[in-house]
Amino acid sequence: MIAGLPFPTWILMAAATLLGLILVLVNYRIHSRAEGPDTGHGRGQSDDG
Amino acid sequence: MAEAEVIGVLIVYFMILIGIGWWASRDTKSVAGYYLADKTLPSWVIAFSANTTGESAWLLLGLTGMGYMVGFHALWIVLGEVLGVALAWSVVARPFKTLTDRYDAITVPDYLSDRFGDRSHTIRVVSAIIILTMVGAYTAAQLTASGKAFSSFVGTSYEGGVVIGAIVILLYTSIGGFKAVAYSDLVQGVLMFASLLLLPIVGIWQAGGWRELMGGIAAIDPALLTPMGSYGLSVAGVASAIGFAGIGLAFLGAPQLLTRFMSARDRVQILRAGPIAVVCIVVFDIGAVLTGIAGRFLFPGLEDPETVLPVMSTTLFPPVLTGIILVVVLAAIMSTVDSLLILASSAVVRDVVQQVFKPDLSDLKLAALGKAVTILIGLGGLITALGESRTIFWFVLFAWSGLASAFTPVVLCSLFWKRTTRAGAIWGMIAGFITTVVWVLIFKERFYDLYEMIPGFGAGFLVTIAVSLGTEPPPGADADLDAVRRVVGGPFSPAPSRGVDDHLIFEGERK
Repeated sequence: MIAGLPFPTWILMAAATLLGLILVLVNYRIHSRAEGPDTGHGRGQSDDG
Repeated sequence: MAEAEVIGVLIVYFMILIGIGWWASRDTKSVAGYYLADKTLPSWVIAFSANTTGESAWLLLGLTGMGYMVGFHALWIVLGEVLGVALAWSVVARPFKTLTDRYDAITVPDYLSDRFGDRSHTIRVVSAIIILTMVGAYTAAQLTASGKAFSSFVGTSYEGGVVIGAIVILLYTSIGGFKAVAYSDLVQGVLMFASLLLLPIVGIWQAGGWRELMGGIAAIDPALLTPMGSYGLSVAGVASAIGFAGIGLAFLGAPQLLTRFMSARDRVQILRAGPIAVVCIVVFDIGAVLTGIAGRFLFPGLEDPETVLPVMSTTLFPPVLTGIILVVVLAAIMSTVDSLLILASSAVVRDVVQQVFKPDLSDLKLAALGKAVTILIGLGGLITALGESRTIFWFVLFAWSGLASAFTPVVLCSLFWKRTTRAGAIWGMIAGFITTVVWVLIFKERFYDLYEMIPGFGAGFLVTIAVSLGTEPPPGADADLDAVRRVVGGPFSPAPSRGVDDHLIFEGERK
């Protein structure tokens, strides 16, 4: 028991809170440079319009 | 309750929504404008819009009630939903946006028809039937919630509450289209976020602190504190946990959520929206479960657990805040119904009228027809809701499952498996949809009440794959999916063609 809650419940709560956040932040870090607005990439248009 | 203050808050809220509808109305003169805001939406709007569309009165009345009933076992729902949202934004959204832009698709059936080269319009017609059936059920359940919320907070009749809710939604949705829906979702989402942050804090404080609350819950039933709840580690417990977590699967491909990815200004917005959406859903879901748990301690013995939020708000807060919490419940209802109405209207006008019967009808006339159809479908939901008052929690989950089981397996296969065929997609959609309905009617009770989304998804995937293996994939699908990989990379590997224009990559792969 930690603060009145069994250990497995804390594990479930931590998983529910953190796993998704880690996933999107890692994804953001990997792709943000390639998709950055300075490249013009990801807009479906060429730089010369 | 001081009704004048509550009604005052309500009137301000309704004025804001109708104002947003009027502001957005100038961009509704084309089909793409009315149904997709011309693909111009920024990250905050698409993130909040996706979450508030996914979460409805179910979150505020249903999930708080579930926290009240089963305690921390409800965290399985949170785990499933948070992972579903995270995977949707990090794995599905960017490839889907790239392909729908490539095909110039406005609706999900549009995308599927182009992806599989469906000249017979079978995909469009099957999609429209599934969407109309499920949206009808979903809308009726949400308007039922509107009736219940108005009658319990303001004291109107049930029917009066249903009609008031329907009129406001129809006004701003038909005037302002998708843009009004998305921006009002943002306003509604911020209200829901703030309330679900505040409610558990006040609940825990009223209980005397976290340790006191946990002690009190343990005294009521120690199983409420454990991950498997009163089931323990049994077959029924595992089935319940899987079913709860399975609710989140819908975020990967339900059509009302996929349209948020399509409406993004560009892929940068999608990348930025992911973390916003995940933080938002964590606060929504954990807040709702903890509110229910605090409510169990503060107000034990409620006859209907789904009333825990109204009971807490009317007892613990002053009248103005009670009015705001009523607005939040209505926000949750409206942000879902408006999106469903737009989805159903697009299925009729874009996918059936424009693509099958009247391809030469002008954009202006089609947009006007879209508004009329939105109102008609809303009136259908209104009449159904007036006829019978239902239990919100399971009826919403049934419609949620029907839409997701029909579309998600097929959309995921279409994005990540080159071998997927037109016939596989059609039969996969039908199998996912019918399995959901048949499971609820015949099998659910005999299989530990396993949530219909699990068999619905299984059937959708199995049939899509089996039929695809026996038929030929459309020409060019290989090249398009290879181009998508080069444009967006993998979920955790960067794009190999950084800085190169999308069109050049697609054309290069086609050659």
